[in-house]
Amino acid sequence: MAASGLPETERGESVSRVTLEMSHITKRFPGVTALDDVSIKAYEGETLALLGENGAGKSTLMKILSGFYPAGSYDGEIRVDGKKAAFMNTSQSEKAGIAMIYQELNMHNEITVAENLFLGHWRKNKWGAIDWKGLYQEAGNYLETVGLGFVKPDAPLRTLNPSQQQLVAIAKALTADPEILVLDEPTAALSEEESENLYRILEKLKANGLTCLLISHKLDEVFAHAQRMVVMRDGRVIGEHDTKEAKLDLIISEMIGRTLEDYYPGRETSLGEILFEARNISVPYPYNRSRNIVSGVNFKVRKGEILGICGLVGSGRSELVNAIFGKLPVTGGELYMDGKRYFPKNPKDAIEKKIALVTEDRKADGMVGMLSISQNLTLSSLKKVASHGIINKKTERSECGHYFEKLHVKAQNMSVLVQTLSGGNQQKVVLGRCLMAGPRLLILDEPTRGIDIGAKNEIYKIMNSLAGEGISIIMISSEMPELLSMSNRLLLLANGKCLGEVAADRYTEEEIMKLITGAVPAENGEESA
Amino acid sequence: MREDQTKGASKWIRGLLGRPEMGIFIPLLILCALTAILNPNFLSKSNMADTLNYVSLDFIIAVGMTFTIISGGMDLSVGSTVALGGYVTGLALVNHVPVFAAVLLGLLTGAVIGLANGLIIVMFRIPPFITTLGMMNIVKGVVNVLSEGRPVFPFPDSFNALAQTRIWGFPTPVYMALLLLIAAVFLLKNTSFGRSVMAVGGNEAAANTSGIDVNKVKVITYVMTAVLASFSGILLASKSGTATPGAGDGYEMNIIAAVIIGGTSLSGGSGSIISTAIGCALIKVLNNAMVILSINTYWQNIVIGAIIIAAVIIDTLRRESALRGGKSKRGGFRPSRN
Repeated sequence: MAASGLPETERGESVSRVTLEMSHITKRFPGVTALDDVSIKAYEGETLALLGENGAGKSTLMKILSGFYPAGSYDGEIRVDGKKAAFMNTSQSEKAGIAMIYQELNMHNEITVAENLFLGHWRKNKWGAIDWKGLYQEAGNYLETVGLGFVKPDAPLRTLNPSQQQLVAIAKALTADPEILVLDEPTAALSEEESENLYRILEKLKANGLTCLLISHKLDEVFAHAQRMVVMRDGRVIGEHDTKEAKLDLIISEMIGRTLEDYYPGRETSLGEILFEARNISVPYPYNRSRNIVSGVNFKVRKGEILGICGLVGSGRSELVNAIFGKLPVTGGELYMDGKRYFPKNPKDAIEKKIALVTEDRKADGMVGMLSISQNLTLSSLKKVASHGIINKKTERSECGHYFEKLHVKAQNMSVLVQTLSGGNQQKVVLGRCLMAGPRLLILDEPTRGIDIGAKNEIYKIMNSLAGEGISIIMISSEMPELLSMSNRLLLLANGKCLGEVAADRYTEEEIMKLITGAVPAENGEESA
Repeated sequence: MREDQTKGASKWIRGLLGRPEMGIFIPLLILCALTAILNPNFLSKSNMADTLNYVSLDFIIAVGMTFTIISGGMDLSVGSTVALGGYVTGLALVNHVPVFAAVLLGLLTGAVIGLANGLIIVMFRIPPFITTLGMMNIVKGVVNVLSEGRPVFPFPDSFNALAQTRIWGFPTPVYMALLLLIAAVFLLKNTSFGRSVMAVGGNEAAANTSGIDVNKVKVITYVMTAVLASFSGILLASKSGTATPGAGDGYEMNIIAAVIIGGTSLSGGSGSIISTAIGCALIKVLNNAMVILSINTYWQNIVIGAIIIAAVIIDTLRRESALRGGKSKRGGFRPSRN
């Protein structure tokens, strides 16, 4: 770690040393100015949050800092510790004390934790061979620093859970002895508790003089853990705030360029008949079919209703919906659609039975990045746009055009490859694909993960209008405010068991958290809607 | 008015030059031009017809291979399938089976091989490379057992006419390949099947979630490849008037090379039939050029090897520059969760 001789300053007082200064950075791509005269400063021992919607220029700015875009390809100046820096590649930036942790961890599951830590810069002994003993010892020290003292350095990385892996990524960054640590959505895959733990460890590192640059869509975390924030929009810095004085409303309006009166749009609910029912459902672990991760879960969904499923990561919530969609087997219990028994065989069958699933991880199994927007949109409805297997291009264009407009996908046209879109627009395309198949039950697993505030709001509005059309929606989310605001009822899951159902408007976030973490026993409330 | 026309024409030409197929078509043209200058015989009708004939026989197999590779698969057994398809048909013919039935039998043999490949790959989840490597040896063995190393002939004239008839100076396989080219482009671009193949190769899990029968798509591509390979083998037998057990030896590598030189991504998800055709032509013209320029045959392997590597390097560089020059996009993978 960057040990500094300066005395620790009280948080909030900006008397600390400037460790990073990026001034008047302008970066142009053919036809677009990605960054327009952007200047930021970061002080020793602070967390500076970079806020902005996708496409605001945060990532481009960080890619310039990391040397991914070499000096000369942009205008402006970078100073690290007051010294001018012109990084030609990523390793020069690393040497200058800048470490990056990306949202998608660049680590290898099959090798050990210690090997991951030192991959690429092995500690050598005097013979030039790898000094394994020293390596494991040192790995142990780094693990201790990030609060993973209990993890064996020679354990394969895959034996660790996502939050531990995230901490290993931080430990790996620390091995380069950085002064500035850039974290891009570090808690995207973590539960609330795990996130808290991560921030506790960052606090410790900061006390030793580390400067953190934090990119996060989770504003509550930013407010809790950053000292200052810089808001970017359209490649410019729109505002700079001290967290103590910052107002959430102002920050949000700066990010999206307009005021956001109804972040969670209201909805007139009119509930219809019961469309879908699960009785006593059990689902096995995806990688161990002999044990159940979900057991004995009951619930009903009415037409026009949004049922929220609330549970921590590992509660079996994703497995439950994947089983309903036919991606995992149902080992016990009965499912009913329209009062008739429904046996999910595979996703194809589920889609034919008018059930659609927007999966948790769109890149893994939601979209085909190499195909265009329209090709992705029709993927679940090939029968609809083709006769005798031959695609009618006119029908395809008009069908796609409908959803392209309806979902406000931001792209030049529909032949743009999906992999080049921002997360929010990718999510809209996935949602559009599901909607084109004409579902009556729409299952959304973390529908707003990793997408910006503007797009989130649009997705909420779409959900409301779908429910208004009488479509039943099941929604899983780790974001409690979202669940509470969007759902009619909540199904509480913990350890694969149903704790009960509650009306969403009768509980606060804290009360629900207490219920699903087992702090207080749940009364088994019957369907209240 | 005239200006408009020239503008329209130049736009059309620029559009044509901007097509991805051009990246490989231009080297082919240069190669042809160079060879023609060094030895004008290259352009003689007989040499052209002969070269195109070989290109066509390769292309017929390469079409299937292109679909397989786009779907994220691979088929190493095509060479052996060429031999078995041709041999089974030949054997039937010398046993006085009618031509039509004999050809059908050869194609059926191919279908069985493809079905076996596909089913093993999807049912037991064996990597295509391994499955088809095994199948390559099995089929090769079957040919040898059946033939005991001896070729079969002679065939009835009506069979030999299949590949030896000339229309406007070009042998029939050239026209068959042309028809196949049109059909395959249509199949890939305009049908649910083609779309499914691209989706399966681009992201198998997403294709499955989207309701595509991934296994069915995969099996069909292997059946298609093997049927086309056996058809090419039948044409080869017809062309030479004999079916030899050694036919198709080493074809798999040439075919895969042609598909890859054509820019089809080995990791699946994208590719072009027309580029595959140009890839086949490039390899055969190169062979032909070296023959008529009397270059040592042993050099041919070296040159073709170098071209394969160069083609993939160019392709990779193009992708990377698109990545850096275009909108920011980071590669990388998500950690799998435990």
